[in-house]
Amino acid sequence: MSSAFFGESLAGPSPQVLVRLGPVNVYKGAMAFAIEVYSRVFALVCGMLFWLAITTGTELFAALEKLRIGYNLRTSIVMMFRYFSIFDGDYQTIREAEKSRALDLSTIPVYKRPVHFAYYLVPLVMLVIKRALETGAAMESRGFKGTRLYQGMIAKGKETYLTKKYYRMRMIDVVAILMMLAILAVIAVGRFYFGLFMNPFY
Amino acid sequence: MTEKVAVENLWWKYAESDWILKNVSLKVDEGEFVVVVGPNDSGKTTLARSLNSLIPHSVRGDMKGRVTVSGMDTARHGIGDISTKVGMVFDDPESQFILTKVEDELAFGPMNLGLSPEETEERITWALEVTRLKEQIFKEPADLSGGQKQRTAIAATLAMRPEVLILDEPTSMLDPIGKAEVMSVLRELKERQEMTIIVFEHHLDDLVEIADRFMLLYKGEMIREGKTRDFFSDPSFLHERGVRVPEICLVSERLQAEKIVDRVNLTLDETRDSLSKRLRERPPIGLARREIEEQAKPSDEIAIATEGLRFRYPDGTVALRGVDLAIRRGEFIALIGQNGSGKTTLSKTFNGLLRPSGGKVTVFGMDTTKVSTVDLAQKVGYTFQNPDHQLFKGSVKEELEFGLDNLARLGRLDPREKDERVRNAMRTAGIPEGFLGEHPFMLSKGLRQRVAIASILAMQPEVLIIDEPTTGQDMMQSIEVMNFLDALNRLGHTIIVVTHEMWVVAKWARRTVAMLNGKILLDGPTREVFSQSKVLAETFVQPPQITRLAQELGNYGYPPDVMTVNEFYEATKQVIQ
Repeated sequence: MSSAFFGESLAGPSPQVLVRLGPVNVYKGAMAFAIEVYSRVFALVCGMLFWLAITTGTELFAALEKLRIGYNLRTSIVMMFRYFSIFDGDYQTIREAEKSRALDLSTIPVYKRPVHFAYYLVPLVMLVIKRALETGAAMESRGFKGTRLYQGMIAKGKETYLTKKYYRMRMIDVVAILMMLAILAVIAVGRFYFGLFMNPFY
Repeated sequence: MTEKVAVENLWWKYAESDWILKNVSLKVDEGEFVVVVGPNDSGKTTLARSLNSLIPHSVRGDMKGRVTVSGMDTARHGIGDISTKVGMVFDDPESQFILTKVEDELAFGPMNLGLSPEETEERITWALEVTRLKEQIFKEPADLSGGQKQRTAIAATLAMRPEVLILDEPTSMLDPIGKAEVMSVLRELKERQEMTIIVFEHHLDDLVEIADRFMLLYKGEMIREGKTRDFFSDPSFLHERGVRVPEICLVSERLQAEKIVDRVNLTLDETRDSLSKRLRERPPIGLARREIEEQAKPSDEIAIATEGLRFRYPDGTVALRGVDLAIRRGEFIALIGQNGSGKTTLSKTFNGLLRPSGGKVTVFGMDTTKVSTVDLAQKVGYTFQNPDHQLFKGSVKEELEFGLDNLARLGRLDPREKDERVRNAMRTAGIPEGFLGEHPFMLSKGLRQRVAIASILAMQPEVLIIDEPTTGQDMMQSIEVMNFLDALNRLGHTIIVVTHEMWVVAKWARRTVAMLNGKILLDGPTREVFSQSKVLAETFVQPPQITRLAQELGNYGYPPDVMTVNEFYEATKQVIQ
């Protein structure tokens, strides 16, 4: 919205006025700039959702291992994937429990709802802490703290079970990467040598 | 035999607590299968965690004495070293799933050991075979049943090839199928893999058939241990200390005193065979005395009725497929069936938490689709399985007032009634006044459950639904909660219990509804439902052990609807005469 209505300050003035809303001029250039920005954000969000839909926590774990990201950090990141569904399940149950005690947020004005969110947080936080302790104990029992050999394998660049399984480059991966690089090259050449893909209203 | 585990004069206390373990000593030899029993808060989990060195390395507290596993002193070796020798499986199958697929989960341990991909794969294949999880290898946690998740946890531990396997209440959160699956894996590990296994558990019916030795941990002290048969030679001693002794042991103890059987039997087969020798075939008798009287005299008024009730979740899962049910005011009903059979979904339609996709639910004549959840909450109270999901406030008093405040805000309650309702709910639930200022999360699980129920009671619903009231509770706590519900029923409340515990159903529920695949399979007085064991088998639910024994002895005159040890004892005396 700010790009569309206050486009002059962001993208500089353009001579073509799209519409005049009282004292405010909405310029075609600013509108095109706003559309471009929102398209990027939209593409980014869609890309992220697509990535989340097709990537498992373990695949991410293997990828981070290849990047030599610290074991504790990458395990924490993967645990977040696991906890999304558990957290959501707990949240839904707590909502139902509150409804059973005559607290239905849909009956409360929107501006008053934040006060009631605290009632979700108390049990959620307690449950998360409890689960985290249990998960931590399970991880330690499976050798999470005794990983000298494992860390040594990674330091030496050796393949582990997960990287072998999830990080094998297939021909289709190579083709996809080459295609993306080719598209990027075409856009770069078009933009910098032929002036394509520029805002047409400037 | 080589000694695998040795605990010598172990004392342990958590920071700012009293001694939890008091001078505990035990020894477990290679290949032994040992079960440690005891009521909640007796120190079982603490002892389990001290065997794999989580205690003292990951928990703050004071320790005296010595624990050695495979010759390694747990005080001197960290959990990383000990984890190569000792595997541990915890009670909650959900919390111990670390990665996102069964196969990856199994790879986690071997990977930590620094094993090559080839060896890791070999171990995964072996662990999947032992736990019979091959078909689930690519599944994610959400797609697994509770039993499959727990078997995955066992497989993930086995993949590390531990010399000792410890399981801390592995079946406490599972349905009957899940329990049977885990027991079958334990049997396999004992008989074919000859692994050293230590199980901490409340459910002993199946373990008495597998275990070599039992130990009783009571108030932090190891007060009895012995070979399985010796350990159960005095069932009353165990029963009085809160151990849920198999009904077979309790009844055969009484029959032994009458010289009807020679010894305390451990299994159903043993008891059937020993009684068969004393009896001759005859038609079934009627029981002279029923321990559980059909004392519930519900009124004719229908509290809840469903007609052709169907329910489909947003993901397309069909949970209810045309349920017709009428519940009268004042009934005590048990809803039984496997996970996924539809019993929780059905109970949630009673108070409007779920609205029917088809058909109709009426609560005291009100169509639930036309009444708000708030209005239904005043008629039908719902208590969830885990009390931690339903405690929102900073003190017990505020917790009990929570629902009342909401009703007052909506103009459905005169705020002046609040104090009296809170006092009544506390009195009925047996919560001492001294706990009013306590934070609910600081209470024991049994008390938290009472607070959760009391907070619903304060709203004075006519119907009370309780989902799995005995999960995670020991025998004494379970009896306490169920007696409390029974007392409420006698006060006129309609009680609906969703449960997997058949001994609870047999003892307290007057009517039982068995569900299968979203439909009602059986509905009737509990005795009648349990007497139809062949039909009940379709739900994978087994009647209590004592009922099954009577049914197996049906040719000798036993009625098929025996439900308690006392009834079986009385029936035996009649049959013998």
